[in-house]
Amino acid sequence: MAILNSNGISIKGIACILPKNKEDNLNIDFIDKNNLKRIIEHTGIKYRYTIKNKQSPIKEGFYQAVKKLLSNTRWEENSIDILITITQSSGNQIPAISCQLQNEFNFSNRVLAYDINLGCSGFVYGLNSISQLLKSIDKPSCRAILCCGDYSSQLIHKEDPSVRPIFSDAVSATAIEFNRNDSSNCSFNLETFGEGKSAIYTDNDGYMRLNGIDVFNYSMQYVPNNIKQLLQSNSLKANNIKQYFFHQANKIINDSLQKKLKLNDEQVQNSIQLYGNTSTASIPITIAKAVLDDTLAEGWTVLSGFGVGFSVASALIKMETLASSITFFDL
Amino acid sequence: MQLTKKILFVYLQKISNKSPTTIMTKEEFIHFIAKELEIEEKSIDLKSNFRNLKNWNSLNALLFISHLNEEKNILISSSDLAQSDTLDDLHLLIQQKTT
Repeated sequence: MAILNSNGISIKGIACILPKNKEDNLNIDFIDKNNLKRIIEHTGIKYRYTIKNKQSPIKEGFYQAVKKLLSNTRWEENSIDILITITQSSGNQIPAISCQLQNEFNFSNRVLAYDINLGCSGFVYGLNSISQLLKSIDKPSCRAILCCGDYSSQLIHKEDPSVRPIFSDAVSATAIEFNRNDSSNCSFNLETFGEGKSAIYTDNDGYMRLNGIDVFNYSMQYVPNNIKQLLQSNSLKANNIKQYFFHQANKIINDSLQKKLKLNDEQVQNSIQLYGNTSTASIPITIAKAVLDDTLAEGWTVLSGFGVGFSVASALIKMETLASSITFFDL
Repeated sequence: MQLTKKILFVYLQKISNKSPTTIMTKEEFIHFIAKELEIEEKSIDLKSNFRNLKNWNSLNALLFISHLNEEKNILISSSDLAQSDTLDDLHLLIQQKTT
């Protein structure tokens, strides 16, 4: 796909919800303590958050996230034009989560609502879909909500050492507004490398399998180039960017990407140490954390999601201050 | 043919602005892997099966590959590993990928 351009888009708010149930990686009983310490040191992940009831539908989490987002942004329910949900935790259930949410809130019947099946690249894909759709609506300004999240623990075998210490469950809702008078551009580079389908997949037993070496390789092979192409097409260089928000895969991959792009620590926001790998929610969680820490830099920002597919997506957007929250909920 | 290829490679490296990625000698490779796995250099040789080495596990394999990528800008996939047995196989693989 060529580079996709859009304009007039701004992120107005993010609400993230994590389960209250906190797990310490040091307490995983089927891996010996020394190995656990090394896993924690190198992945950067000590604590993870997982839902208590493994049968719990993710729609409940999204409901809480949207409710909180509407409160953070003070958006009226009937002002929403688009609702897109991105998850791989719907358990093949129908109808689409977005349709269920439309009904549970007082969203208009004119809301465009559908789900997308993507993982770690999903937030950027969703942002692109929404930015292309919003500008096509015949209104001077319009609004969308992007729900992104996964209950990865529903797909994880409790004795699989390659995934158990990595993933947290989390959902997010992001408020995106389009204003026809806003001339600021945004740009996307969306790519798919299906030859990497075996890097992360669900097996016949329903459990997720992850090949850490291949995920590392595909990330190094494709993500830096994806970002460089995006910047080149906008006549920008890596150091012109105020901040980078990468999908939070693990510390090994994220540190390597930072080195490959020659970025300093101040340019890169991380949250993996606090929340683990939260799949498609990891970029909004990292942005919300930056807002709450008061470290969000306004200006040109790169968002880059990559993973299961193998799917890679980066966005170049102008970031402004936004209403954010990270809430722990009894899920 | 091999020599011509090598001369061309060195020439291409010289004219590019990138820092040269030099070929890893057998001694350097033994030193590299011993350091990665935190084991004595003397305890291993090129005939050793890397899967039987003390401290070889999935995390250390990933760290080995990530550090190799950082130093030599090459990538070793899981299928590359599956097709290799000894340290000599791995060293050959690194040489092939470096050139």
